[in-house]
Amino acid sequence: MSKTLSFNAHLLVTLVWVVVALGMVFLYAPQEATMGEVQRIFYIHVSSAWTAFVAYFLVFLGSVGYLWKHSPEADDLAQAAGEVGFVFCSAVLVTGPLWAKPVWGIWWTWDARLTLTFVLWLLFVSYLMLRSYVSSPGRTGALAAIVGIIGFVDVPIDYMAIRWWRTQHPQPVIAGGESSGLDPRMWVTLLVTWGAFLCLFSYLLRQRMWLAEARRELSALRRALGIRPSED
Amino acid sequence: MVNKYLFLAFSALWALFFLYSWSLSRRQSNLRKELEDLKGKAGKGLIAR
Repeated sequence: MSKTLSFNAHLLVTLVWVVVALGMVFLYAPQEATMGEVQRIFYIHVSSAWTAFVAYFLVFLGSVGYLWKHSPEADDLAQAAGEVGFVFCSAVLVTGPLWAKPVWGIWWTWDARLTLTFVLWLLFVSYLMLRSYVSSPGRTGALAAIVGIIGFVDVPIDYMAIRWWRTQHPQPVIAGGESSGLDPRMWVTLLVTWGAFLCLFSYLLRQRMWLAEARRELSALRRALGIRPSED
Repeated sequence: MVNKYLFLAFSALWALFFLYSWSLSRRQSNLRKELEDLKGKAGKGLIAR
């Protein structure tokens, strides 16, 4: 199967999955008793957050791979996951306040979970800025890998924040002990939505990796032909 | 009537994904064009070796 056909098939699966997930969010999942309609933001907010965690894990894996094996493909993976992860982390920070305002009465508060998620977003930003501003290819990869590895420390702390500290953010409803729990239909809807987001994430990741690979090949071609980037 | 916060959250999310996809596709198309130009120059012998 050619790469274009494979990309198109992946996009088609993603679109179908997203439509099914949206249908489940609005037609299948029951309305939450206290918050009402607005609670449906939960499905996209949590799915974006979990996908951003997966993205940062891939940044970590790619960074370790690059430092260990000096593999350009590992660097491509880290770079692509950092950029697509930034989009999903931004989605968390956009949907969160839009859910918080009608439920808590405030857009934002500096509690542990919210602050650590904001720090994660800043880590994605600094990772991407570093990649843009350091121009030496070998140095960029190594420095970005160090930032990617150190930054990953924030992910487990962010995930555990609502278990370790009392926060404005709700205590975990999933794997959060005896008092926590979700209606089975909400559970299924959440998992289907997260699956759709992972499918979208992997599609964007593959596209972004293609771009990184093509840029690398273009630079190699330029070098082989003896021209500098400014000469085109 | 749909809750305005719910509407805004879903709209903002898909706008964000759409903008990123558009930016990715624009960068890919620029890169393809750059590659074609380079191949064209190489084919015409305009590149000094």
